[in-house]
Amino acid sequence: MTSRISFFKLTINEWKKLGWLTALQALLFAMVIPLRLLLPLALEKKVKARSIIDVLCENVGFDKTLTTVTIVAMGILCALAVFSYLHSRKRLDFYYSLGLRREALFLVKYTAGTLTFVIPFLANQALAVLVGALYGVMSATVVQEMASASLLGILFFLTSYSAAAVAVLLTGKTLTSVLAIGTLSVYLPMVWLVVCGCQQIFLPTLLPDGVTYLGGAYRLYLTSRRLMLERSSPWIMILAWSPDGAAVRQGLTGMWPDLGSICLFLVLPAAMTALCLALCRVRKTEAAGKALAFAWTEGLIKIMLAVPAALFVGMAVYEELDSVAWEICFVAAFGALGCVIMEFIYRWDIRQALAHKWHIAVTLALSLAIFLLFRLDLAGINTYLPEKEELAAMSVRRSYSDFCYYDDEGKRTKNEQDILRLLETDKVDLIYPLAEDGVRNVQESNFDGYYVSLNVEYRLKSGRMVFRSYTVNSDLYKKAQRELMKDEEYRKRYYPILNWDDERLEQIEDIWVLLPQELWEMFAQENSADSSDGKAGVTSYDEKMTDGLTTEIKTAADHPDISGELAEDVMDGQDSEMESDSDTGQDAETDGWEYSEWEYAEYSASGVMTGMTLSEEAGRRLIRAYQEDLAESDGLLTDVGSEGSMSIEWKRGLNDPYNVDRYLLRKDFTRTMEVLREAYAEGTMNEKDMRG
Amino acid sequence: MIEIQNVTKQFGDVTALNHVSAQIDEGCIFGLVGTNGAGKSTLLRVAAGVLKPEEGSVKVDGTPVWEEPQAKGKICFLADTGWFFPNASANTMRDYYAIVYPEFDRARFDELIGKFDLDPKRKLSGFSKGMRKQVAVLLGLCANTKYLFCDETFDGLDPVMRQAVKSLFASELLNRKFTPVIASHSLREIEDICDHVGLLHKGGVLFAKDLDEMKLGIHKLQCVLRSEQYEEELLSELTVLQHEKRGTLLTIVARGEREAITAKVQEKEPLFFELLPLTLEEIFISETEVAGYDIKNLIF
Repeated sequence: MTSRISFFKLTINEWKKLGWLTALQALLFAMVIPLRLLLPLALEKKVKARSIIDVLCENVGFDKTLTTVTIVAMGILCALAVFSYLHSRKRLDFYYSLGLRREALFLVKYTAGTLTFVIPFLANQALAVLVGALYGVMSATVVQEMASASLLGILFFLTSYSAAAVAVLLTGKTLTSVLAIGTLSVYLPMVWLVVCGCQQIFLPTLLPDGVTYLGGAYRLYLTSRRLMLERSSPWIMILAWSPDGAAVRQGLTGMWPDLGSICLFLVLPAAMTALCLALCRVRKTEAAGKALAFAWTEGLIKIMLAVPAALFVGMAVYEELDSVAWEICFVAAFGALGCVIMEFIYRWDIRQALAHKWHIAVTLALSLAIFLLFRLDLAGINTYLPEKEELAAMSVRRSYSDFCYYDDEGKRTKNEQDILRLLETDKVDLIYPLAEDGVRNVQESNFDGYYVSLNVEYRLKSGRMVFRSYTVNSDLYKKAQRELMKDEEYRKRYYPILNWDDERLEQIEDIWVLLPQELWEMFAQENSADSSDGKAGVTSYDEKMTDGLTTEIKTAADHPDISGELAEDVMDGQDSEMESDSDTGQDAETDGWEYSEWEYAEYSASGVMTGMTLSEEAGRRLIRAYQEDLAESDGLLTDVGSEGSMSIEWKRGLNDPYNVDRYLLRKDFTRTMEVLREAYAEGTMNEKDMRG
Repeated sequence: MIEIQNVTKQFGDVTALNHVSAQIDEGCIFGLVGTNGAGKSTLLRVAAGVLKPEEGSVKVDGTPVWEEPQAKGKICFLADTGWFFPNASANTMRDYYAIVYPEFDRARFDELIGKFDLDPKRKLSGFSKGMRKQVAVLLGLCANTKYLFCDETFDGLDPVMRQAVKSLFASELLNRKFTPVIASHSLREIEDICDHVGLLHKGGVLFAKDLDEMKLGIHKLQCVLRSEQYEEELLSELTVLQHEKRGTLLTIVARGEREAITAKVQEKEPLFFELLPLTLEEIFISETEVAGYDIKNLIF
């Protein structure tokens, strides 16, 4: 009997009943895809074939944010509409009495919901191709790319739709479904932010990624953390997806996604659909109308949400009041309040808001334990200082040097811990006082004078490695660093540029120099005085510079060289220094941001920096001169008269994607300055558009 | 045949069905009665495969009903909170039922919907409660399933419609294998429809019997005797469950064989004597008293 129920007929019937959803999506996608393409084409008076392709690139195909956001939103809406039967006892009585397994009914509904998207979406994608064809652009590549983009769009939809279906199955009401979708979307990043916030505020000495080497476990940790943030929910994965980040090949109208992306978005909805089917099997019919479908999840979810909320409040109160007693009060109050709110959402009855008191007790215990662990540094992270006799080696490095370090295989070392490992020295007596000062400073917070931010590695004789970040007196650091730099081998390790030979210089793609405007003008004046013909070329070059090639560097983040890395550092939580610096009020000396030092340099009073590129030959001369100057100097690059920087861009692939080294320039690097002046006089320098 | 074996169903802390066992034979009209909250709807929902019992099982023709499409396909369940698709008409529902119940008889449905004077194209949301129940019953009947579960379905029908539906059920019983199970909180609603009755109370079945069998063991009589002495003798000789005297007319509900009771009365040479048909309520009083319950407080 039952086997005669036609899956196809039932699906079509269900789809017909969702006609409103199909119509809504048809309308939305018409606006987002063909109309968005048609409008600029129709409004443009003279359209050339090339510009039509540009318009196509901008409006249809891969990685169109508006389209992707619409797809994600429709996935959620469809799931809420299609699977709403799971939240209604009346409808479950009807559907579950039919001669169908629950999984079969779910698949019928799932397919019908998918059809409400696929049909209008594909129709509008086809319309977009038709619009292009009407304007004279029709090629197999365009069609192929649109077909691929359509496939990816469908996969995005299925991912969003399936994930939202999981949320619907886990809940018993539409309201809690919506809340569950929101929670699932941002929960992990929010928790991660709270943990990072606690680390940065309460454990400032903890070097981000500060886990010891455990046979590569920490690399796994780094990878998993990034994966967790970028792949913390299906919706974030979709929105974070970009063909630029994947291995791509250029199509006529844009980029092609790699096979890995497609496979990922094939596997993800399939896995979540399988999860839905499993949930269908175990989900009780009587879950309809309840906040959560599975009673055992109530306490767990309540605690998982209330604890981070309480910790967040604790951090906020610390920032405002800095009183342990008040912080404990607020953490406890908001932990309990979180539980009460959740209980109210569960029961929708204020009289039962205090039910399940043990949930509140567990939340309070966990919240206070975690908060006090951070707040009082119960693990002794900030005050950790091994005995000198326990140490086999140490290393020290100022944060955020922009030049790269390389491992034995010549690959760039990106992580601070790896770099510190490369800089290890057994001269513990020189570095240990810096660590002592750092530990003292974090306890006393009584700063007097200039301070620098340092990263320190302890390698104990036991083999254990510990990493810390300290704020240390600047003079103490300079003294130690000068002593360390007397060791030529150490200096070469510290400044990799000193090891560059001709073979390596062959790999340079481009060199550009960033100097204060006043210094360039001084070069121009010196060259004019040396020249009898008045250096007409240089004069016109100056005019060009002042016409529009000047770049004003206001903040570190504005700098195109560092912005990418800075962003990474911020992600790693390494921006805590900015806060500690503002506390000490020692911007120029203590923050490690070389850019802020420029503002105090002799020739950069205006704060206007100008970028110039060098010819290949001049660039090599510059590096050779720089190597000599650096080798003969005291080895301190960041504190003494830094005037600007030279950036060396490597040929693609060598250090990709971080293929730029930046070294600071000093006014007392006479050979370097001379090479620059000569190159400027020779007219072998060209403008560098620093606006990126 | 539907076998309900030791079924227990809990909703949180509430035990809706507590080790319920019953058997519903083919070809009868089974009435399931009980007070509000007795577990009638829950039992029907479990039997229809909507709810999964914590313990026990329900078998339809020997096949467990839970998640077994073949067994569930033999049942059409009309829930008390009958649900139709939004904006659906009778024709829309007919089309859907025709898909999910492969044996659905479209022609019969169209014929019956006309006989009941219901507009098949009108939105069901515009129908009265009773009209929607009529549509639900017609859909259930035309689904042509072997078993039809009606939860409080008859409560909203007027006497004429109930009689019409009763006729339809009788017709179905004659023409095919058909076993309706009708749940109601009121004995009066179903006593003229059912031939088998099960009484649920506080999640347990008190009993389930054939009405005719029950009627064989209990009788209601009215008589006028010559003296009060005869009356007292008769009352002491019969197993009287209930008696009442209005003027000279004595009404007695007594347990026992019809012939024996008649003989006892005739011995007193009554001026007037007749046996009356018993109502379902009166039968239930006696049966539940046997089971040790004071049913008057339960269902009336």
